[in-house]
Amino acid sequence: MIQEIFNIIVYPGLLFTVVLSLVYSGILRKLAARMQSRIGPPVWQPFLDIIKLFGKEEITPEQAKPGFGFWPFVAFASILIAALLTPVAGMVSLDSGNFIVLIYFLVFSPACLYLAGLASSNPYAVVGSIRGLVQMFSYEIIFVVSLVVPMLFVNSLEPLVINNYQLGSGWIASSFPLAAAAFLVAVLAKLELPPFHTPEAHQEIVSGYYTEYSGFRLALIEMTHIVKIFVLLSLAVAVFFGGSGDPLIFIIKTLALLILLSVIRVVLARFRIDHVLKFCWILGVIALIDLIRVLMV
Amino acid sequence: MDNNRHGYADNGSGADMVKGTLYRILEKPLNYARRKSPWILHLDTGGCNGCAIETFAILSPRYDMERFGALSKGNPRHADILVISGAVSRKIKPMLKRIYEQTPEPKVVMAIGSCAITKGVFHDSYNIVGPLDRIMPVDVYVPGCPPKPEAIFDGMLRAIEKFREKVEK
Repeated sequence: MIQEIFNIIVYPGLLFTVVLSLVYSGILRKLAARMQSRIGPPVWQPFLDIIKLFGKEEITPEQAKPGFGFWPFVAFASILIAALLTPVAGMVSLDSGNFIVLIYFLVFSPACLYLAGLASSNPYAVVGSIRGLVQMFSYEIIFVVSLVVPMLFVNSLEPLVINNYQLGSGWIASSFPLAAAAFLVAVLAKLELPPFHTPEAHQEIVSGYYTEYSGFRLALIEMTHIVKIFVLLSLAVAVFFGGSGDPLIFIIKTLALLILLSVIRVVLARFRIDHVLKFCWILGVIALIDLIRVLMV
Repeated sequence: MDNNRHGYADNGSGADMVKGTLYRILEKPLNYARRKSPWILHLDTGGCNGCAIETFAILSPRYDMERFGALSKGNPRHADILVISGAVSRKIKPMLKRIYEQTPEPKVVMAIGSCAITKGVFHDSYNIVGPLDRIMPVDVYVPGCPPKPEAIFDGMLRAIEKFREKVEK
């Protein structure tokens, strides 16, 4: 019992996840800065940003609809539950879920943020939310199709079983490279990192769906983004990239994926929203090839 | 509205008491984080755009504002420091007031360049309504026409120090 509570609250549960994902987000910013030959912020900068945002005044627009104050909390809570269901270093903190629940919470969290955008009734936020929903339409298909491949291959719905299967018999990414590549693109789109930052497009629609938020709720939205990076990276490691038995291997693998993400982030420019749709549908076809392969095995 | 030093209106409810206690406990890390993570909003109120170009230079890799944790935000609700350059025209005055009110407390205002500080060469124009500090309280003045990026940087660091004065007292 005490062991279980420790697993949920400290390691590999909430505390570990939140602290490590803040550090990862700092590393992402630092790497981007170094690649642009800047010095960049210190690695612990996201901690300072979040603490500062907690202490800012909150402004609620007069036109805001009832859900305005409520959705960021739900979004953050659901991404934390997704974090508890994801295998971290060969362990799952909440031992009572499977892929279906995990996929549900990973969809629910951004959906809440888009609802928050719609509830703030700011034109920029509404445009950002609609873009986000369109983008969701395009990447969720690749995400689920490429996730189904390892599920069918190992014949299990438990992320941990797939993780442990790979420890014994090699990476699934090596036998299904197309699905792994499509999964990584879907991860990029889910994280709204460049080239998929269309919903928050700073040069076009101010800050997208979180334009009206400030202070504490903005901190929650930022935290949702930051924790999502960690959740999806650890999911990618557990499902495609060989799994992980101990924390060191886990951190090395997720950091390698993080470096890949930050290179893509610096190199590529933003897609237009209709381009996102087209690009993701083509990738969906690529992921389908591996799905057919795994069905024929 | 009567805000307390943390920018929250304390109207005596239970939630505010909890918040107040939390902020008293977390005051030191909070003040440290405020100085280390100033997000700026740059606004050109109309003018020759020279100050705007010099302000953009501090975002560039050569000066790199982000090493102090600063980010450029296009949104007053996310900003801590308002960086305002250019002469204030009649058209932008109501927008300027609105942007100032949309910025959450604690906030610092920087006036960049001669036009924002004294109207500069536009001093007798029919269309220019007063220097910036007639419209909103200005904390840091960066003179020059335009000021060098180093000067704007120095102004930004002084603006960060203003947080200490404003919040810690």
